[in-house]
Amino acid sequence: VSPDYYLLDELLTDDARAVRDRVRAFVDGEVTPVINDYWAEAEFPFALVPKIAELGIVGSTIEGYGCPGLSPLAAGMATLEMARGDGSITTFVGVQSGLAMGSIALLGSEEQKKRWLPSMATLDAVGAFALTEPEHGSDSVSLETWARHDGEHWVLNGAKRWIGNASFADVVIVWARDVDDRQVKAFVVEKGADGSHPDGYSTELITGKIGKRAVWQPDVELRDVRVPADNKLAGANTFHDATRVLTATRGGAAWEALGHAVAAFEIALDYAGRRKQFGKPIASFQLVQHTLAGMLAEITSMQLYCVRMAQLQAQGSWTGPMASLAKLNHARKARQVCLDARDILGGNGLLLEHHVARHLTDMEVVHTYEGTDNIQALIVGRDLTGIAAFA
Amino acid sequence: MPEADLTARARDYLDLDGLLTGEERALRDRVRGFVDERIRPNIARWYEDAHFPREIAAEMGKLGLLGMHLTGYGCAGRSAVEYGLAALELEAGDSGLRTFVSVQGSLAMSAIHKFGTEEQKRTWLPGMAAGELIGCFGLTEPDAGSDPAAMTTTARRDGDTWVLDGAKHWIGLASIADVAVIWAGSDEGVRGFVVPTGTPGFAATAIEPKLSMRASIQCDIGLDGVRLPADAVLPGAHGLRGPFACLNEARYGIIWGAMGAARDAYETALAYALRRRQFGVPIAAFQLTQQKLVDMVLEIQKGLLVALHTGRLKDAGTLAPEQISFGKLNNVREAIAICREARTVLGGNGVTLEHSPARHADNLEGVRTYEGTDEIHTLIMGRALTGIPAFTTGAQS
Repeated sequence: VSPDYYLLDELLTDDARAVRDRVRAFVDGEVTPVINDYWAEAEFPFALVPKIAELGIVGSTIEGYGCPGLSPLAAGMATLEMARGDGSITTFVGVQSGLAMGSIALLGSEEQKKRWLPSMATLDAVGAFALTEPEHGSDSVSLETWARHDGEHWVLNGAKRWIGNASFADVVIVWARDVDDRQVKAFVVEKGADGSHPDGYSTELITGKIGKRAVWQPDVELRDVRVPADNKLAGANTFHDATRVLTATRGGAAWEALGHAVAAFEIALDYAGRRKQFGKPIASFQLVQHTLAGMLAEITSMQLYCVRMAQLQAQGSWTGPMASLAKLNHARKARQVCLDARDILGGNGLLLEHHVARHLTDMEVVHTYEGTDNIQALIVGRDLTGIAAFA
Repeated sequence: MPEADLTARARDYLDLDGLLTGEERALRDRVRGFVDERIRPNIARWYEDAHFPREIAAEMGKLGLLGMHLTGYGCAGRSAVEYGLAALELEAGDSGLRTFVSVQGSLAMSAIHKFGTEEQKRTWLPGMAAGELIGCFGLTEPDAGSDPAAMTTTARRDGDTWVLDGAKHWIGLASIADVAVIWAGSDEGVRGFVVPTGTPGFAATAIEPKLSMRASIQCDIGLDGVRLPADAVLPGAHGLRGPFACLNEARYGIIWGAMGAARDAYETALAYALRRRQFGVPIAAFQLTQQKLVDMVLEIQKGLLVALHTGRLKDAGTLAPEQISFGKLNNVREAIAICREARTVLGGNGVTLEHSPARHADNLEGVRTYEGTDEIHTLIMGRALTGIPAFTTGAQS
């Protein structure tokens, strides 16, 4: 059963439906059966990467350069279905498509796009996006990684944190502050011909995560890392350019949250129909039906939100505050849906075997990354009132 | 009024009565009896007619409810816990009538009692304690609500007299009051004045129509060259500390009062659920209804514990203002949620004045805002936690 209570399938285009079906088949056939072990061991499922490449979703809405040029609706459905399977893989793809390739597509020169995007679209090259720092999470606007122009090179120094894929990525977009004009710019740190990262680039996995355990989000240290001048993204010249990328990806986080909520709901509904207590399925209890109906109400409103978001993106009227409102709403609501679902499963809900606890704890990551609830609220608040209240 | 007989467990789930002394219980029962006899049978009509029953002041005075935690000058000299229990029972009747007792005792009388001269106390307090005279307390202004430091009402010396000019807003009882305690800015900072309401230039008009506290009166006050003798000033109050000390008294009573409204709404909902039948069974037999009732009891019992503990601290003399904020913020917030949920148990019948929950919920909207909004109490607590006042930060562009 898919919770399509308001017949939203009718609003999907053929391409969106096709993408949904492809990703759903992949998730049901390849991801769900194996992902719990990776999650438990905090191992990244490299074996799945070639199969992801075949789905035709990497590169998402980017046109040309070997990318699929999905409509925003199709791209959203891909994210939803991926998250319905697993949050770690969703992040892997999101970092690749939305953040790393998105930065290049949005801010790169024609030559830079030709240089990097085609191999990234096939996942022959994996990307990463290094913005967050140990001391600058929500206020990444104050980031302290420095870039110094030195002849034909830029020299990068600093530290980054929570950088998905960065320990093995071929193409790392590093945001750093130019010592000369103090503006934030983006630089592409590449592996060399020998397959190793340049001197001075090192990573250390962050261990002990309680969510998204199957994707690696390491600390990155940059010590006099030299990148060729050509590797500065041509259009990335202020912090505002980074926010343009984030505005696009925040919509993806909303779809992702919805995917987790859908998964949790489906698991809970199925369980409630099978689990018997007091001689009947727990689905026959008023309290359980009340919870299920409440979950479906939230999911349906999230679906409507997402479909409208895709329309606005397609017509080019999508704004940063709109993205923040969607991310804020979906992260809150989906987290609650996952909590309610976990509760319906009782003690079994605590076991990885039933998947719902994984969706719940992955949702904790979604609640924080791509801008916390607080930050989204302040972005919307500034838009509403004209008053910035960040500090 | 709950018609069904509720069990002892349903009425006092954690046996909190056992935490009270015999004397405290006796006082509580007296006030409860008064509420049952004088308020419950009439409140729907008073509320609908937006009528404050002036005559009830003297009856409350006889019971010792006015300025009851003050000593001397005809006041009852009861403990903070006893005053709290009275507020609880009164608000189980109606927030508007508990508000009268708060304004009279905790604000107007306590200002005179704390900061007045012997002469001022003797002149005003005995009549106020008896309910023969009604007092009000003018701090809030049209443009100075949460931020009383922004007040623009002024007091200036003119020879041997003081002259007050300005405006006050949301002042309980002002249009029927005999005396007003008015706070105004002067060369010496904020000062308080005892103003007989017949003084030329003093005018109070009721704010109407209200959707909350309809059985109580809140007013605009205009002060137009109100000339007062030199001895009208309250000598003991300098700066905003004066009015804040009074607010803390009133806020304390709200901690109890809000739980009274919540208890009455819950008991009404429980009694109704036991007697109302749908699908062939009392609606109390439905899981969803039981969940609502249980959630109400959880919060009421916790709220009562907070109130009682706060009262014991107050009687011990160690209660800090930021601890009062804890109770005011929590108990009013939870009480509103309880009353609204209780209303849903009563279904369509819950939207009439025949039943108390909707009236309590609407009353509590007023309670939630006055004596410090949720936001202000949050910031008082936040400052206490962090050491950082955040009343104005986060608001600069």
